[in-house]
Amino acid sequence: MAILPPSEGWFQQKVAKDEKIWMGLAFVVSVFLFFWMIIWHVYAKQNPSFTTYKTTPEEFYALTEAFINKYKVGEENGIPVVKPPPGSDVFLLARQFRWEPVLILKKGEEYRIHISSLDVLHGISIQPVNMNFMVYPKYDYVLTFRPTSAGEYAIVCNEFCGIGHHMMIGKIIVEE
Amino acid sequence: MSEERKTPGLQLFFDDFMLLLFLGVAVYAVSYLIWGLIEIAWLPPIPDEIKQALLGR
Repeated sequence: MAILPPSEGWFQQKVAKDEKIWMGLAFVVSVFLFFWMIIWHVYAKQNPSFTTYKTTPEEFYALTEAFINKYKVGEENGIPVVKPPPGSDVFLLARQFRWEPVLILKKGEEYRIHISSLDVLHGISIQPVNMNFMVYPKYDYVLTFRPTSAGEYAIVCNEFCGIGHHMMIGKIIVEE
Repeated sequence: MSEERKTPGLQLFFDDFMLLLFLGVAVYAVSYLIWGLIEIAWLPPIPDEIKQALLGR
């Protein structure tokens, strides 16, 4: 807001040519940016495709437990290791202060990774590829995910979740 | 401005800075906050096929 009100009769005054040009340019830029937002989402593949479902900590825990029991292939430091078939629904549970299970995925195959929290807000950060998402309790965030290179990826919590936050490290293993 | 000349409605609108301030907040609140709340309220539950495949019920 200007400090002083505009001069009397400002509404009837003609808009100067340079001001019209500026307004036109600003309009063109904003329309371009609007469509660029959509084009970028589709072609740049920077924003992952996701769906969100409503859930409860009890339900998500039961689903994760069932998922672990179905596809468990071992254990690592007390955390189950699972190897789900390509194209399946994968469950990853965040809780104070661990990620479970450890996932073994196949390179180039698509998975639907369901992520939720049992207790407080967590953040999933997949390193070193640096993919970051929020993990909320009561919401199932489903990422459609296709690992493109083999190796071991660490999952760190990047949302301060309590005293053991720094120890909350999980793992995704991508096999050839 | 002469007394008989009527002020255009659009000018009245643009001159009312409190109304503009209100709209600047209200439009944002409706389009983002309330839209977001509606989205959260209408989120579907986890599909039954996924639950059945894992829990068998």
